[in-house]
Amino acid sequence: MSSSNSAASPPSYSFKAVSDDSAVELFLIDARMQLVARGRRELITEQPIGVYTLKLRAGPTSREEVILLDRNMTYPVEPLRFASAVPLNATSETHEYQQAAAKDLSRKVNVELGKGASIFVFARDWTPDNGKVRSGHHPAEGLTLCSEQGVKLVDFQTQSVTDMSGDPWAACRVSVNPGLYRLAVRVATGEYFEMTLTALPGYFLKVFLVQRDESASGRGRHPDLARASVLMSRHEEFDKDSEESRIAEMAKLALVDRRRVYGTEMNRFLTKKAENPMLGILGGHLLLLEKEVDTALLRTVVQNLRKILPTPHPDVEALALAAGMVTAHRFTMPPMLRASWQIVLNHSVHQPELVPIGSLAASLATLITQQDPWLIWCRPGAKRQIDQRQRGIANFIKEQLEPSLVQLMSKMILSKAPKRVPALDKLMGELNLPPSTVAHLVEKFLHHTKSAVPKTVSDEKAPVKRTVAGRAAVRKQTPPKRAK
Amino acid sequence: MAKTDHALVVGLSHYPAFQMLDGPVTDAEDFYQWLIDKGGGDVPANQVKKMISKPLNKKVSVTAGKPSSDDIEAFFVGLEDIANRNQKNGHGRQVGRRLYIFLAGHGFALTPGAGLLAANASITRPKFHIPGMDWANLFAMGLWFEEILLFMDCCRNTPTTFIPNPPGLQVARNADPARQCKRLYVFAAPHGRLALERKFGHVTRGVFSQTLMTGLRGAAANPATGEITSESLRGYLFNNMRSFLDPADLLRNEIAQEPALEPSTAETGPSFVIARVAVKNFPIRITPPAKTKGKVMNIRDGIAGLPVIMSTKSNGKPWDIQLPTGNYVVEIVGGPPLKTFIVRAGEEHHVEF
Repeated sequence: MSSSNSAASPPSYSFKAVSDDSAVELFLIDARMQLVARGRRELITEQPIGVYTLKLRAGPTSREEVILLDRNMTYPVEPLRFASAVPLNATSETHEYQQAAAKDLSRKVNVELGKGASIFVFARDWTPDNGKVRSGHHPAEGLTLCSEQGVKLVDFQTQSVTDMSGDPWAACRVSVNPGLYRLAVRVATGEYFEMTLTALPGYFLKVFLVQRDESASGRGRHPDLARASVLMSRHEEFDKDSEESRIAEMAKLALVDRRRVYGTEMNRFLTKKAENPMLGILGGHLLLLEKEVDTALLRTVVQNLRKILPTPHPDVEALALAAGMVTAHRFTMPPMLRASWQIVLNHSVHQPELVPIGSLAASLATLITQQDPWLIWCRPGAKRQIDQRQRGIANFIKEQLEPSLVQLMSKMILSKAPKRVPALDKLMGELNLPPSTVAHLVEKFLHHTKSAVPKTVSDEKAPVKRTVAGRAAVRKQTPPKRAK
Repeated sequence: MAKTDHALVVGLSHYPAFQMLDGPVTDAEDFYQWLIDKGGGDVPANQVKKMISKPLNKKVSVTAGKPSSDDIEAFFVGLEDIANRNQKNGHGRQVGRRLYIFLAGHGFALTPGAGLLAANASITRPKFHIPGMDWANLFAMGLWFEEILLFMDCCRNTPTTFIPNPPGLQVARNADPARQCKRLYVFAAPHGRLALERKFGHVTRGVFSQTLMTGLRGAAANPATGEITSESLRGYLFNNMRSFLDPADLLRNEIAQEPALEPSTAETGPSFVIARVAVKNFPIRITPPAKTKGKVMNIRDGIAGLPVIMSTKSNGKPWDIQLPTGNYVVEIVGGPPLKTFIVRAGEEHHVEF
């Protein structure tokens, strides 16, 4: 190489990098760590001769490659192996034997509870050393399928097909009537973490879970709902090479990151996709992340989804609200996605009837956890813990409201018909709870007392050290690290 | 120039109602030291408000947790006194040149930004938090400062319950559209992710804070000028925080591998010089093949033109050098193909052919 220390301008070269992954972001960073070019799926630029870093990113997963740009080049980009609960090819946490088991068992019904819809659950463990140091832990321990009312229907620990060799897995396909169900995980502390599953006629719902080790916080080892992957298609058999599944996974990761990943090209793709409604739902939410929301496109997404889905889907109806469309749906059960729930909350300020008084959704609103993208709620082992949290909110309400409005809210619950009270709009927006929940809290804690509600006496006198929302106390062999 | 700078530094390791953290107090002390150091921020010490928690030796009521949200907000409210005084003296309401806000402790995601939980917060008292970005934006809108830097080392997961605590200060919007506040806001984690702390040697530090302080002490400086600019610090933080994480943590989806830089550069104004420091170099060992003995070995900087910055004759044995962060090329004239490498803070560097 000749010396380039002369004053003449250095030569520039064209650089092109293309990824087969539709949702991968590409960044070109110069030697001083400054971003000089970026793209979605492909990056085309012209830069001076130099050493650059090409960074690929999909959700939380990224990879860097160092490039000496000393000629025009088209750079081949290998697939980005991101972590996924789905044992897809070209992901970072999978074994071939788990892929084979998922494919094989997704075709066979293990439990018959009804007809017309199907829920396939595949819980597995994954370790880098392929289970050489075995936990001996059943991957579906504590995992159950419950009815909308919370009645246990399937115990996956006892009713799954299981293989405890290597990294263990458990698989169970349940034939069900179409409708809403609850997927629940009971952890070692006695708490239940739950999320909504929507079983639709003619569609095969597949849920994939990996293990999470929360031994340090006392919750033990258990299936991780937060990292759950939910696929929905008309094909019963699991396909490890499915491009749609891969895209759906990346869409899910992008939603968690609030990252605008999909460009116009992908948005058009989403409006045409009828085979995987979850992809359409996720895509709809990603559209809402754009700086300027293409409402017309969102309406098309919702209309297409409503056409292909035989019964109303709560997440689709939430997207309808966001698109300014009318919905007759009542959210008695929470939707699957947290982003969907936030839309419902925002609209419930002016349409309180969206979340009916006394509904499961209204009762769970104060139990929502910090997880994304799924809406996961936690039923504590002790009712006292529910009361503590709710009392804190009730006290805040009391500080903000005139007594007459407090009385009005308690009458609302007695009438079982939430009505909009414009004077309360601001408070409702701030609390981020449906009016039906707020009315219930007022009735429960404030209606009966003219004197002050006891301040959070229990946590003032005996403060409880709790794991803060989002903190992950990590136990490791090396000195422990903590999340803040 | 720094004599009119002001700073708030908060480190909360001890919470009556939450699990203790080990890093924030140390992180805050370190940032404070950099601020008042003449070779760092050079901010007058009496214009830096440092608030750190103290160990809880006995059961403390959550309402008595210190520093409380009111304590922290008192700093912001106190800036109004300075604004009023300046206005009275005919200097307008600008408080100073630059405002630094450093907040470390437990936190959660706001949209946008993050909330730092004060020591008097609890699960049932989520109102007692500091929305750092809201306060920074308030002063930016009023042009109380020409430059604002906000660093928040806390988690940004979605809160379980949320009660807002917006800034309770009225600030008039800056009337001169030609003058805009330049900003740099950096969060330890993107929305929805967790910020970690870990041991570095014997000391526990926030991963983000450790990355930040290494950068402010020279790793983020332009090697040619010694200047740390908002642009160079952004690039440094975005590309180096990963190397401060344990490799096992890189496999965990919920852990932040890069900080979040919000809002975008299009909204934060042009780049500005933060400090001029001694450039920090990092050790690199280059091991040439034995058969290259006698050949010229060049280190080329990866910037445009690939200029040669170091040269020696290979003796077939390891060559130990020091370089600042960046991309480079090793060239053995008449020898094997060029070898590229990246120098990052927080990593060991061995280049072999």
